Amino acid sequence: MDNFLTKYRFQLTDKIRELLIVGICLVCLFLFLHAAHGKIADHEVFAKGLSKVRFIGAYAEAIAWSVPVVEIGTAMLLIIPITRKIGLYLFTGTMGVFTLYICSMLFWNEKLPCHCNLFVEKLSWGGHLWFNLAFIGLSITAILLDRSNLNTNENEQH
Amino acid sequence: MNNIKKIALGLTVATFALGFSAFKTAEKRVSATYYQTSNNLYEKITSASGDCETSTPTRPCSIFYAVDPGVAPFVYANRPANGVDSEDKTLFHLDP
Repeated sequence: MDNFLTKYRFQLTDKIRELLIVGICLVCLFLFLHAAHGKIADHEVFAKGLSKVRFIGAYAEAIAWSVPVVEIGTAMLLIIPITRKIGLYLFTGTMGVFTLYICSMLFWNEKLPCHCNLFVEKLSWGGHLWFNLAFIGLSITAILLDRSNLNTNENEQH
Repeated sequence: MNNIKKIALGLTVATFALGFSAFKTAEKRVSATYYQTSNNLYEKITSASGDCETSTPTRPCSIFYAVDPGVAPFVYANRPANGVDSEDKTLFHLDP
């Protein structure tokens, strides 16, 4: 297993690793900016949808503004190379919260509105859950690649 | 790839994301509103239909369901739009 990992690690050159991280960041950036714009453009519909959700309905208006703001902030952090790592952590955390929301929908078995974008709006809650988990997996991969990039650079300096 | 190139690429993708979302939002605005008049009967408000019907074959059409307060429960399976795929399947207005 160790041999396999070592071999696999050597197959990824720094350039490929960096390209993979940039690619993942761009995909995450696209997803969040697209979603944020949709939520702001259709703010009333989004807020109304949230107001029907158990537990968070009372804070619908605040959440309806804070979610797109967090998404835009995360996207901006992902654009700037120095803050990319923080952006990836924030993206993973935010997607984790969204995933918990979906899990609660599955748990309560409620037909509540999902203000989703792209093809996600055509997915079931289960499909949506897998979609989110895939993106969490992608961002964690980028974080790990970034970390191994850092380790390689440190080893080279020593 | 240097940092300037990465930022430029990021800004390009950001512009593309916003443009694409704006385009999709504009498409979604084409809508029709149905009011629930009994448990499984819905009536379309003609004045609120816009160009939904005429544009349906070529453009996506959003259908909104307005539930009068007091008429419950909302029977999701009995939507009137047989054969029409709604963009906002779970969306319905509470205030007519």
